[in-house]
Amino acid sequence: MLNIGLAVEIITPPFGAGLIGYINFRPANGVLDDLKVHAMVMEKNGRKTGFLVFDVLHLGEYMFTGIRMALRAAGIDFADDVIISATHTHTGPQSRNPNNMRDPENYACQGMIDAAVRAMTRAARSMAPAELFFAEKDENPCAFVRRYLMKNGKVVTNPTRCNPDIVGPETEFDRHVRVLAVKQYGRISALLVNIANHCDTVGGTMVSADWPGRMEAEIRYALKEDVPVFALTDASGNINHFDVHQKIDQTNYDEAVRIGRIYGRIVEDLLDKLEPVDEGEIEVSNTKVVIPNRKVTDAEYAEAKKYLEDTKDVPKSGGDLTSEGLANGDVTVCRCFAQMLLDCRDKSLPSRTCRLTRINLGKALAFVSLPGEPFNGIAEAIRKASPYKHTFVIELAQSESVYVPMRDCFARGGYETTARPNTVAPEASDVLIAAAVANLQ
Amino acid sequence: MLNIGLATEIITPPFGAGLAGYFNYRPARGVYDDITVRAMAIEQNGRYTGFLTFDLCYFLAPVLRDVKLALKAAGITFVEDIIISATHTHTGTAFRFDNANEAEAAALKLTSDAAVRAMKRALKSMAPGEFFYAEQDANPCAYVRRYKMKNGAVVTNPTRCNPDIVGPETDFDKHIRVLAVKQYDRISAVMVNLANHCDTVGGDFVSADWPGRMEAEIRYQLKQDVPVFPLTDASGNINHFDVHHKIDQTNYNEACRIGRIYGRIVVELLKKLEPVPAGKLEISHAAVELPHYKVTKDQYAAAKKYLEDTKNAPVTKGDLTSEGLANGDVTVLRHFAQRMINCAEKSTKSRVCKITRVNFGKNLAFVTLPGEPFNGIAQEIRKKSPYAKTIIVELAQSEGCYVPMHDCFDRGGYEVQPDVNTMAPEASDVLIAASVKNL
Repeated sequence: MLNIGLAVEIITPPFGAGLIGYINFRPANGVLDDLKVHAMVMEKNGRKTGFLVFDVLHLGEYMFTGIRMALRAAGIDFADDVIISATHTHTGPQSRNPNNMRDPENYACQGMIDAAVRAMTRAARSMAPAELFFAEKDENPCAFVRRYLMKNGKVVTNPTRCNPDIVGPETEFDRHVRVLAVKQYGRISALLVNIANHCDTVGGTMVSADWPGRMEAEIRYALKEDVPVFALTDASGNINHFDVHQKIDQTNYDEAVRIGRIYGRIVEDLLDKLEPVDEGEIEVSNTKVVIPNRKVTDAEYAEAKKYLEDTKDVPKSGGDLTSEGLANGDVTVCRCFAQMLLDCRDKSLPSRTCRLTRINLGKALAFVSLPGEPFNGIAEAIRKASPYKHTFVIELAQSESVYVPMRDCFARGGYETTARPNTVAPEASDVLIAAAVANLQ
Repeated sequence: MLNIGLATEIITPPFGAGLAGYFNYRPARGVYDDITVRAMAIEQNGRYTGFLTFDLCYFLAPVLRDVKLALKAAGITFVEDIIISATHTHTGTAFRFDNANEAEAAALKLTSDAAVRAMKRALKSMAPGEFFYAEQDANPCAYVRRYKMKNGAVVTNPTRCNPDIVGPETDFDKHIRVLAVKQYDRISAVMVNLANHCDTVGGDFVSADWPGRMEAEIRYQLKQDVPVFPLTDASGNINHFDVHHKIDQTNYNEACRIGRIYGRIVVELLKKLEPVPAGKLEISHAAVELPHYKVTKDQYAAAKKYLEDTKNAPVTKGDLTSEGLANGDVTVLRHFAQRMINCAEKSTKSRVCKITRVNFGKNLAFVTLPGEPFNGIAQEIRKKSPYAKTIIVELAQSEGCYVPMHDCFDRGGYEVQPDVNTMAPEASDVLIAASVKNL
């Protein structure tokens, strides 16, 4: 008999906390919708596992460590078997680099750790018999591959809208929207939604959970209950919501609402098609993978130095500085990337060790965690090799990391392959796929 | 210039914690919707006030004390100037002190901790704010719940379509008052003041009842997580039961229905907002001594006899509510007989309650009342109020109980039934006089 406990806590930061995800500093000055941490505890025959999903951009290694330590201190003895992940909202607080934090960010991060403990403790105290149900749909109308082949043979990430030089997307991707429903006492008590889409539609300085928050709001409104919706983001390193064929502003809160409502309605429709999951015993496997970091060549280094020198007197751009600036040739953004390339060589470590976790319930269902923002092809390769009937792949989970592009993307360029401190080497995707597949067995 | 900070925190108890509001013990075993505490901090020229609105049935004095102590310990210096109130949901945490189980002990701590977090975050999130107001004189989901019967007595929540019903005992103030906070040209919070008893869900699943669903509706329509403060107007004799409909009116769907209706009314009112220039922030507290009920010898003897005569009657299963009194349910009647005896044996002479007025010049005032005052009390206070808009908040600042109008006691009904430290008939007069003086 499977038992499940659920809880949600609010992790909205105070005003003044820096929102993370763009190059420029953005202190929060309002709240569009609250950020949350969603907690689930699963237990079967004494074996426990669970999920903690945070509405933040990502979690730094010190946050993963801090959360696990705090959970253990609170008596959650299965803390190491909990998959901890982030939704990747770009309108949440800085939660990665403790050296960049001021009081508001420290307050927010400590608040997140405390909230995780509260949520997990309450979930563990609210266990009830549960059954799992699954449905999926092979259609994701709000997500697009964001790397486009251009007429010059290169790849540009998020090129300007309706750019006549666009040949087409660099690759295809897995459009499945996967839903796992928890039923308790004959009613749906939680939903886990696995979708590939980069979570950056809002912009600005107001706190927001972005489309996952609005998806939850839509589902809750339709179900008339505060059902926790766990946004388990599928590998989305090369996927986002920008439709390059539409010359309209696609970065605003209304866009997050639109996308959230569309996904919410897709999930609602899938609830009519739920099939029971014949869940077996809970098994958890944690492993480590050493992901090699990028090496900058002498020529790349010299070119970056020259660019910084040549553009040192160019006035700075205003507004949000994002990866789109790279595609648009924004000098301020390009200077940032040039400096980051220098830092990559000067400051990078040779590799980064990341934790990978597999949770499975017999052969029916598995959850696979991936660090950072892996390209969607990585998840596709893992699912192809998976012996489980349903495989949920969750990015931004268990360890701090960065973009993990496919090996062949590096030669073509684009934002995700730019060199920054501790960015990954071209072979990283192969290493990650091999380790994740080995951990599936 | 006003500065306003806002925050919401979740206070949903763990499973196993008792839910408050009925005579039977109901440990929570599920959650329909989270219960929350909403915090607002208001500052003007260095003077602070605020609101903490809890999705709870009521405040027992020790709970209120714990919350205030926790706020003070966290360095919040204006604790006594905060209006602390409950929405009266009957599917929120019951706090027991003598026999609290682990879940209830945890729920008490998480509730006071959440209040501290919410108020601290609100204070760290202050921004210039302005008030706007709108109201409508129609409350389609609330009814006077005390009905005159053909035999001359009053029955609370009589059986539906009862042919002996003559009509409601009185009328009530049907206004729905909305105060919106705007910051950076957008609505950042909504305060809703309406009269309706918050008990539509029943059962053993946690729920914020219709105020939670009202907030969900408003948030959905506005597409933002705007905190909605349900400031319940005096509702001691008001609830949602429509005696003309012979349908089940105690279930979660009913809470959704009512919440959505109120939510849509509020959203419409948001289109008609008028600015409320905030004058000088002033706060006045007073202590009012409310006299307790005195049981007569005849009442005491009759209660003892009833308990003896019915001691072998089978115990009713399911939720035991005030409706059982109207229906003649023996288990419920035995409960009330025991309460009568307890009232005679354990009641003190009176209780001292805190009442608070917060006003912004002559344009706007908030007035608190303890317990569940009858709506006539609020009507009397508003009649005498010198403020353009007066928002009356029940279940606030002190532990209380029903405060019926003086003349209701002769006519009977659930609310006038004696229990330990229930109100004497003259309590309403005392409360009105003290509140009007504090205006």
